[in-house]
Amino acid sequence: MAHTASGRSLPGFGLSLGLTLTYLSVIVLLPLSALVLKAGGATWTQYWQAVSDPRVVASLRLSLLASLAGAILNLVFGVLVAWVLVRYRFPGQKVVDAIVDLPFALPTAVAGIALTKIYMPEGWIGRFLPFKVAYTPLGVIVALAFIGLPFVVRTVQPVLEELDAQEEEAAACLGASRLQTLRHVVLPPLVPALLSGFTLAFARGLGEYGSVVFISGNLPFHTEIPPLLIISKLEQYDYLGATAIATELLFISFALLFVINRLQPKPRKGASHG
Amino acid sequence: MSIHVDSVSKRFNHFVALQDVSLAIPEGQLVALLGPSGSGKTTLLRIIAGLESPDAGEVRIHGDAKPSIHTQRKVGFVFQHYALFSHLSVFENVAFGLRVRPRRERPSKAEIAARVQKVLAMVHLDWAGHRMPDQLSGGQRQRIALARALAIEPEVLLLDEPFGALDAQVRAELRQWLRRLHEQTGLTSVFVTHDQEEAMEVADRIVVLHQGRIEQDGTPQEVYEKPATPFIYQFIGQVNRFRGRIRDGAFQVGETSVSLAGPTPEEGARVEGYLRPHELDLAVDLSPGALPATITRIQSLGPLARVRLSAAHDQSDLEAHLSADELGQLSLAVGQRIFVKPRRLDLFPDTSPRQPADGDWVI
Repeated sequence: MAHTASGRSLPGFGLSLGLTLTYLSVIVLLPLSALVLKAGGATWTQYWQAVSDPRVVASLRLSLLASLAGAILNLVFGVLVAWVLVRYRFPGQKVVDAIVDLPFALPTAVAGIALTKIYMPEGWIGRFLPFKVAYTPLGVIVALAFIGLPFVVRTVQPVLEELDAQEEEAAACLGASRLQTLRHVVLPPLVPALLSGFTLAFARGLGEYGSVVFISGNLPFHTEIPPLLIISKLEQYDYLGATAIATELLFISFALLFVINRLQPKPRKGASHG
Repeated sequence: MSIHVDSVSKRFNHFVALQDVSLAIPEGQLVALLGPSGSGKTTLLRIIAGLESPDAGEVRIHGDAKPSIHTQRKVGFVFQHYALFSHLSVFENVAFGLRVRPRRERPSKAEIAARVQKVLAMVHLDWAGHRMPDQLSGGQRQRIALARALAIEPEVLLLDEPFGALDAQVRAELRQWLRRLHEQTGLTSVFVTHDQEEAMEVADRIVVLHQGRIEQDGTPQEVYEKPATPFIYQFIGQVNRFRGRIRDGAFQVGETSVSLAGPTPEEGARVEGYLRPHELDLAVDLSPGALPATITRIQSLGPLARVRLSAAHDQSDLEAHLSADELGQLSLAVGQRIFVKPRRLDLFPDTSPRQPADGDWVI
């Protein structure tokens, strides 16, 4: 039997919570508070000027929209990949399964350069496309889709494996069309995993730097992302400006992730009989 | 509705699941498809349901050809492991088949609620509508699965090892209950089982499958009393087997000649004789047609005694069932050498590879 969250059968709530908070503080909160403190050195006017700079706003908008688009793409195709990997047996399946993880393993700069080569107007794919991909916001989306794929596949895959294919047959016997079966039988149990995968891919997209800077071309107001702006401000010793953008990105990300996590349906409580 | 299966064949890669199977089930019958695993019984049921398509042949329900599950909606199917929608409440599970109907055929909310309550009452679970499936026991879940199948008012009801996942006591209860439900609804029903007792107890008719073919098709009594093949003798109930040869119009087993009633196979044929344990008489003294054997175990169970023996001519195991009274009169003991006499025998050609020991007595 798995232990429940209330976990009365294992002692040590105080100890484990203490460790959790200490670890989170040292690894996550401390660097972030340093950031906020540094930004706190600025006056409100200075801060407002830094974050409301049209160039910064444009970059934030690009980052948010491209991350959203990339995460949605991954949501659709990630589920498809997971479905194929779980439901079918085909030669080379293990290889395909391993390929899914490559975006995690590859240094992002390498991925960025490779994608740029392929999608630039003379590139392997770029030359066949009637529109430009590299050096446009579309390129940013392509890079983020590449980076985020494993998140959706790896969160959905185990849940799909747990699904009982006989439930789908039962639905068919009861007269449900294929679409109704998908909508009412397959998708509902996947929702939490879909949401997790989407959130992870989205969050990763907001913070991604390495792969995007190569393919985007970094044109101010057009294809420039906030992390790049931060780096360039740092290079000009404008620490206040850099931390201001960073905190802004931080707050927006946190707010969005918080909202998405709140969307998670609560697991239904049910005592199961043996 | 009646079900017609016409020369259906099905292969999975190199495995032949069904070979040229034909079966007609009249309206209102409760039929058991009985067979060991791999006999094709579940495949046949799934083809009738439209969950698999046959490689050759066709299935008609009430005369209509039914090529695929998605072109019909009048089959109630119950799975061995329930296959309830785990994210839906019991009520929603049962209502599912009504809710997915096209808008113009869909009953109103109130009608759906009334229909769901009605079938839940039929399975004695009308109190469970708001529970989730994982809050119910196995037997209760299977009854919900049955209610869900009945809610769509199916023309036929198909059950795939419906009690296979349940423990013995619940299984026995549900069998009785399924039989009563069948008498109430009168639905043409087919269920798959590998449990011969279950088939005997519940079904009007038993179809025995073996290696993708129908081996016998008859009432439980016919299948038990007149098994059509050695396979069925061994699969259904307990059986004793004697191997021998036809000599001088009698069945020669070891050095004993057993006289035969009825038609005799041709002279010299190698045959196997089958009989049930209660058809084997025990005697302390030798009489014509009796074979020597040694008692290996005596087991008394209330009014019935089981005596296990080892035949003297080939050391094969035999079993005799007799009443406790008879056992008392014979005053038998383990290790005692006595005589067994078949009261009747069913003869089949012996197709097993010839054994070297046969040469000792055949010349």
